[in-house]
Amino acid sequence: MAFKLKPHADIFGIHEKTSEFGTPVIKKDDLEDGVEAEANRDGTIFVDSKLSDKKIEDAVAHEKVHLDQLAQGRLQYSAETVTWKKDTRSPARVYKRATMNEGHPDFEWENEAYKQS
Amino acid sequence: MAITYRGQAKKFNRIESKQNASGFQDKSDPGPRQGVGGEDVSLSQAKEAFAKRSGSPVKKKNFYGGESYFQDGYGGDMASPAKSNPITSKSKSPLKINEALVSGAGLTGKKFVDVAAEVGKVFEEKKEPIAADLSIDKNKTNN
Repeated sequence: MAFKLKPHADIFGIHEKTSEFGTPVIKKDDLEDGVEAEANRDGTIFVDSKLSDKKIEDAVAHEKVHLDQLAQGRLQYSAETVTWKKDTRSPARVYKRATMNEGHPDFEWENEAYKQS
Repeated sequence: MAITYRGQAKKFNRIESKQNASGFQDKSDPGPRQGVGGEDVSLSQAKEAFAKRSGSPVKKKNFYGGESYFQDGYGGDMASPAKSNPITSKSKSPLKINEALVSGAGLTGKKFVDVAAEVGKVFEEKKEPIAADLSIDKNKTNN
């Protein structure tokens, strides 16, 4: 009996076109309402599985800027806080996640990502 | 009091035993290994476990937050819904594109006030006023 093997990307729920070594783009159905993509500090990117390929590419480009910021040590987050240190001369600012509007484009790290992507 | 050779050796052994309490991991105990091979199981237990593997592989959440196929009866942590917890769900990312927020910010055009930045401005050093150069005598004429 013949059967067809599924590609790895289908099995693991990965968006193959935008995924790179060390930065898998994982398609998710359970992101919060209105959220198109998320960058995680483990190097993964979550995207809404319902988005078109073009939108996924745009979202991934945006999230990769965040991953760079994380790698440079300028941005970090925990379960309670987000810490942003724009450059070596700037003080580190700690934002409480409970009171901040996560993902708002006027935050410096988001602003930077929108400009670069 | 002088420490004898034997006393010193005993002391070092005591320190070393504390430092390497759990092998190469200094700080945390690796705990019992599960589902990765090497666990102590009896032959009868193993036979029972294999006998349970009757069904076809099932799609479940894997460690990375995606989904993978797992065989029923798999004893690892990843297959246990109670124990499995994707690394990303421990603290969900705040770095997100929120469609509603982006369009909302564009519509209102209202600048988001970064409170922390405003407070920071108060502490910024102000420029010192330039002191007048008293060495130049303005009243003096070049006659």
